[in-house]
Amino acid sequence: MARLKDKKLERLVAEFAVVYRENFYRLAYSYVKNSDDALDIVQESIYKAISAISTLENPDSLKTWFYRIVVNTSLDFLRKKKRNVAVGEEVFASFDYGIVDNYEDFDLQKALDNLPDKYRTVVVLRYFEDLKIEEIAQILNENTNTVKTRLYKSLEKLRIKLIEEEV
Amino acid sequence: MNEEKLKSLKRQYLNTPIPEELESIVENILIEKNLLKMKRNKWQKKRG
Repeated sequence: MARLKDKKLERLVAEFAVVYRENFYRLAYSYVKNSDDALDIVQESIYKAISAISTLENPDSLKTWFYRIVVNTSLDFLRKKKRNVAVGEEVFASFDYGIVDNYEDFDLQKALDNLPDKYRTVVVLRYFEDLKIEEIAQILNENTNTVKTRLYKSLEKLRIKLIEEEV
Repeated sequence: MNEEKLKSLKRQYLNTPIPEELESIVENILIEKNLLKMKRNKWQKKRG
């Protein structure tokens, strides 16, 4: 019986991963700025999700559960990379962008990239992935007020960074 | 930070080029997982 339930959940996770794979890829890419690494992160996240399927208590929270896996896998990857890679290479990596509309956007993107991970994550999840504050709180295992405060501070930091660069 | 700037950043985010490999990523994982399961079952049968 439990095996049948796991099988059903596994199928649900696989279907979910197919629908959300591009979201997960963009999210991972926003951390690592490298296609191969982002693909590795998505792959590892799906593996983890399928392997840990029995720990998913409520299938309704599949979306936030999966996003949490992708965020944590990306952050783990960055931690490992920081230990191994020289700082200079990381600076170059942050300029590896697809399409940049204009110089102002480029500065803004740079400012976003330079935010500490915990601030950048809330901006990406809220404004780019269009997740609700409650969903972000579940993903980050924080309360909603913390997320709201962090989001406010992120926008404040971005504004300050842009002003500093203009001076 | 005004809304327009955030929209512009979102546009850039959504413009992230998606590699072709992503399309088959889930299927490949499931195939690999099933192959591993088959291999494990075979090994367990061998051990009796």
